[in-house]
Amino acid sequence: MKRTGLSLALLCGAAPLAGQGVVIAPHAVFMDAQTRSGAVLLYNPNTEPVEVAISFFFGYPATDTAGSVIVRTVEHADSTSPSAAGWIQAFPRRLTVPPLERQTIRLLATPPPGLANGEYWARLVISAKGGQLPVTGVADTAKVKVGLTLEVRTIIGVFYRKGAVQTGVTLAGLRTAVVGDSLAVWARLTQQGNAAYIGSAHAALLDSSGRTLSEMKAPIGVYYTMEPRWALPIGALAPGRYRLRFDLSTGREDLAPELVLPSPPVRDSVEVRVP
Amino acid sequence: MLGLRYAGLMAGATAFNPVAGATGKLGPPASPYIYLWIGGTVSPAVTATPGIYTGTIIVTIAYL
Repeated sequence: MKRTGLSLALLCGAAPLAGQGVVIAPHAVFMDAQTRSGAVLLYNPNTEPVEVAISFFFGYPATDTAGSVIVRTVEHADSTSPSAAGWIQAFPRRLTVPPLERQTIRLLATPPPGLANGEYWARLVISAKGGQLPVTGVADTAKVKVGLTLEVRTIIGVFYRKGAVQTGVTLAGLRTAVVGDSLAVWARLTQQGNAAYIGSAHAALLDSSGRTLSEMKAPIGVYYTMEPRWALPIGALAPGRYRLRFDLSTGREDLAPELVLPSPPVRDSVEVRVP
Repeated sequence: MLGLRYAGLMAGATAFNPVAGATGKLGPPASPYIYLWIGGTVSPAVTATPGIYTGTIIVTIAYL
């Protein structure tokens, strides 16, 4: 667009718009072949009503070439994909949540007959439209006025389990590099079994005496193969040899432990040389 | 321009590319909020028809 003297500067952060969107619990829904149902609770902490739309798609966390975690969307899942997006429904699909009130979304699964044992996945999208965003810095509103709204799309995992399910993960290619004031860590993770690996990644940088200099813990979901990149803040690390310890476990702070499939921890370590 | 921070002040927010996104940890209760600071500029043409122009900013949050 050609820049003219009639530019409007938008700085939405100048007047904070607190509490846009809705609070959602839980952060993942686990259903089984016995109950075939689940529920998600929405809470509107705002002073204005929020319009909410519910939808599903098939997708899963993956990584791009830089190691950033993305949600890979599969628009046309083939018959071999463990997609539940086509046979899970939400009630209601559209609603308005009044200020400071709660609403429950019920999920119902109607899987096709003869479904093989295993875990099937869908992503639930909760789209919340709130009020108008504040627009500031407008030099001249005599002719052109601007209105902005914010839509917050929250995506959570929905898991449908039938029969015996088990999970695991393999860890390979653990490597590091000092990048500025951080230690970048990469690893190749491959899901095992017939269910997604839902857990946490933990990395700790130790000095020669075994003292922990820096560590990080992050949630992880491994559905196929991914190569995530993490960063540990290390500041100005003295030249020398260090060791990075890395482990994956199925413990999650944000999910009920009885819902997360257990699997033995996986560990590896690698030497880190700082020139 | 996007900034991510765990406190309600824009100063000190970590800038990130909205195309690439950012990964953060929400909670446990000691830090139950993530503040997202969004800024931008629109530059309508001088020949733009007078009126009210509207748009929607979409923020996507995906739990792993």
